[in-house]
Amino acid sequence: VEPLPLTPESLNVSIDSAHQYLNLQWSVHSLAYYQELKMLFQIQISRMKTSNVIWVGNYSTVVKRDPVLHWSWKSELPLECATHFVRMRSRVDDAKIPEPRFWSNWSSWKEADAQKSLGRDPLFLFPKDKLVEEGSNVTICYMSRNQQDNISCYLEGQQIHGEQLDSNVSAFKLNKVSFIRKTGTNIFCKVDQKDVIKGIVLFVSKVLEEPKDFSCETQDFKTLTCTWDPGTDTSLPKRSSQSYTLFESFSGKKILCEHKNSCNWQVDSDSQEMYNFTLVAENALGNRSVSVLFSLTHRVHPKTPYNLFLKNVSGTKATVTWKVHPIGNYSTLLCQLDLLGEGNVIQQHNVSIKENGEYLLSELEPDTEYMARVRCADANHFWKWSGSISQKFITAEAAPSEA
Amino acid sequence: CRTVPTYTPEPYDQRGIIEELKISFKELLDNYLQDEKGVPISSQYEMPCFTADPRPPHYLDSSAILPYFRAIQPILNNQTLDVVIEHLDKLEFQRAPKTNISVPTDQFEKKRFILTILNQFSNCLNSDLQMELDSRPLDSG
Repeated sequence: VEPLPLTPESLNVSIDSAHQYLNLQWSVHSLAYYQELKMLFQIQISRMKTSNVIWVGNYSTVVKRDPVLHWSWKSELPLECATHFVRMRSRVDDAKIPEPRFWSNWSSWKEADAQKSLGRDPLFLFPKDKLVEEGSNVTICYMSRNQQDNISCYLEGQQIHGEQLDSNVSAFKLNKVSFIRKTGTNIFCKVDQKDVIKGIVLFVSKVLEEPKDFSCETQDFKTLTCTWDPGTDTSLPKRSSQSYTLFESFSGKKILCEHKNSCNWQVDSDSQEMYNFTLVAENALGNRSVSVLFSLTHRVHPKTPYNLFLKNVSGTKATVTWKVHPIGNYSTLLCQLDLLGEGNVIQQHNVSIKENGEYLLSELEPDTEYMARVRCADANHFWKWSGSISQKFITAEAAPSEA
Repeated sequence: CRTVPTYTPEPYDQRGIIEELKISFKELLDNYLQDEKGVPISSQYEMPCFTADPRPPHYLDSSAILPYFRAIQPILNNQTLDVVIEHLDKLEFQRAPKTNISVPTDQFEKKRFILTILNQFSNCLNSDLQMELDSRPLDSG
């Protein structure tokens, strides 16, 4: 039977200061009898000294032969401000092994000291130039080389007070930080009575919003134009830009959009009918997405008609002609012809056409000014009216009545 | 290489240029102080002021100042600063060797550097320069 429990071995801790992660790597003595075993690892993390345990947690995983295991812990305190210590123990957590199951011995404490790499400055302030989202909590801290120094710290010029972690280390918890300006929030600490100042800039970005009113349409079955409301601009100069990518799942294609509120997608000639678009808004801190599924022929938004003319205008009749931009081979447009008199619609006619429109207006009043106005929409699946085109005209004077 | 400005401002021009410079610079400084709160000035950065030609008509020369403003120009990316630099250009009459001023890369120190430069130039304009102008007979600018 397996000589259990299996103590974690070769525990190694590396520091990722920029992201405030402790990255753990360890192995378990090679499993002789089992291909794999489900195991539970209990991890303890101490700060400043091993007796000061600040975090305990379990990590469950399936261990295979001669594995190297990895796990990361995110510190809310910048790692440069305190030495951390890590140890762990393990226990089999697999149905193949009957109860009782015992914890292994603890591994030895492993030290993670980010201060070794710091220079000889008298004062340090962290995190340096961090980027966070508005509303998040941030812990900043200073570390002073001289324990007798009296340190005071200021956020946007206002003094702030922190929690002393050690004689020369203090931490300041900033809750729900808010956006102040694109060039960041100014924080500095100074050694009183000395000209020693150290500052950082906390870059707070607005919350990235899910794009609103996302919709796509075509005017010619050649290009699909997608538009949306991007919401708040979260970009910060040289820190975090905001980009939009359009994915189409049926074709598997994607494009990076040039604009923040619109994107053009070329329709392939194989006339794909259904489209499932996902628009992904992204910045340095994350992404938000929205999707829309539609049929191409249900999203036709015709161009504005053109060449609207009046001909054969008599006292009581007039012929209106106009043209439309053809849309695909089979599309029929339904055009709405309004006759306006003194600004009011007095006649309205629907005309289905493919390319050229013509309509005979009748029952007009002689010697009267009218306006003819035309707009069109897809006849098969209404989506949107095109823009309108209009033309004024005056009917002829009434012919003199027979004497 | 750097050419001498297309024209050398007459003495009485300098006064006019300096008045316009003061107006633009005040706007620049006020906006920066309004925009960036909680940034202390630093004693580590020292910017020279105007120099004056000892020979009449004592042209004022901005060549020692301009490199500092050119160094912060890409950082601030600000139209008012561009106008200030245009005025300073008009007041540069020596063929100054090209001086590259290094700006701190640390974000907070960069802000301190900018604020310190602006603050020192404000002193230039207000105290030192005024004394210099007042000490000259009016017709020599």
